Amino acid sequence: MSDDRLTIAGREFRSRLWVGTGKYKDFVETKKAIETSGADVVTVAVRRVNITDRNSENLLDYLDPKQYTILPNTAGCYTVEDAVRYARLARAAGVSDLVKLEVIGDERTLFPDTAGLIEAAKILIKEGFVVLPYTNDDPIVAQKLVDIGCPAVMPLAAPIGSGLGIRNPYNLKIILETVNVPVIVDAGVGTASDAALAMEYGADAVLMNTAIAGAREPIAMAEAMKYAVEAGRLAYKAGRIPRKLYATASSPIEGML
Amino acid sequence: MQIQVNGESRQLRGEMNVTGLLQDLQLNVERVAVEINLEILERRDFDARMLKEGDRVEIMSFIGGGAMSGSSSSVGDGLRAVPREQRETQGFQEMESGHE
Repeated sequence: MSDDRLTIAGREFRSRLWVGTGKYKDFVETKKAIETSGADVVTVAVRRVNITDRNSENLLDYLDPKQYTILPNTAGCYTVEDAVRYARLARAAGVSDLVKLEVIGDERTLFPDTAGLIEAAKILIKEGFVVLPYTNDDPIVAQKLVDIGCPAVMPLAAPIGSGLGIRNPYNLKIILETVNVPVIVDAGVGTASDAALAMEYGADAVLMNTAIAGAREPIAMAEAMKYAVEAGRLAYKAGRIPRKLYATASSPIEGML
Repeated sequence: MQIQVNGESRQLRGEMNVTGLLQDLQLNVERVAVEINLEILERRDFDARMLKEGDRVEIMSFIGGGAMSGSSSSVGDGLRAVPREQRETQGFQEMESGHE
């Protein structure tokens, strides 16, 4: 697997498992889970610094930006203006032009507002951002995002944090067939088989947070996800057998009594 | 001189640039983004930019997040959407109705 690298906008990534850094018990657990997952891309959110508690620690004290690709997101942004503002803040706080762009359309489902997403992506791409858009499992929107210059698309498997797995495998397959950029399945994975399935379909990577951080044993789940993504990728490359309704004997008839 | 920092009033003793404010707050200059009166200030301008009466300063950094994590202290002027009145969906009793 070592030569099977994922390349996006000239950047190379070893692991095809990308992970979020939210919802962990503490930074020690965050660090351990991420190390175990083998991920080299980690997503972070941009928020106000706590200026009253001087002792509050910084996430980046635990995740070395030299070791990981820090991918800031615009989580929590419900408007184009807000998403663009947070993306600019992320770039100013960080070291790169990478942003995982989210424009959320609704608080209960956290589904993306895809019209807003396209609008925000256009603005940010013009400003030199490398925009990785969190989008719906809609092939038309995915293609539009590619057309305006997104070097990858990140369709959801299911609502963020829902753990429902891939709700619309056929749409995902269409996206995989129609867009000519890497596809990173983002959000909704519940357990290892969901991640493996996404990779078997041909996804280029899977991004998850809650499935690991919310598991009873996050570190163990991080390891399970690492293997699931690797197994799914290998199976995809190996090429699965077609489904058939009836049996095909594996053992020869010849030589039987 | 009074300014606003992350939504809170702050009294400055005298002339102070942005670098000075960050030092006062014991923040690592390399790890924060600074926005003053809705305009992002480049790191290279932290020394040159003197704080002025009434400046609204936002100091931001990275926190743990996948998507919508933690208590999101939204910046600025209440841009969060308000959900419509929620209706219970039948047949999903085994599922939690959300994580947030």
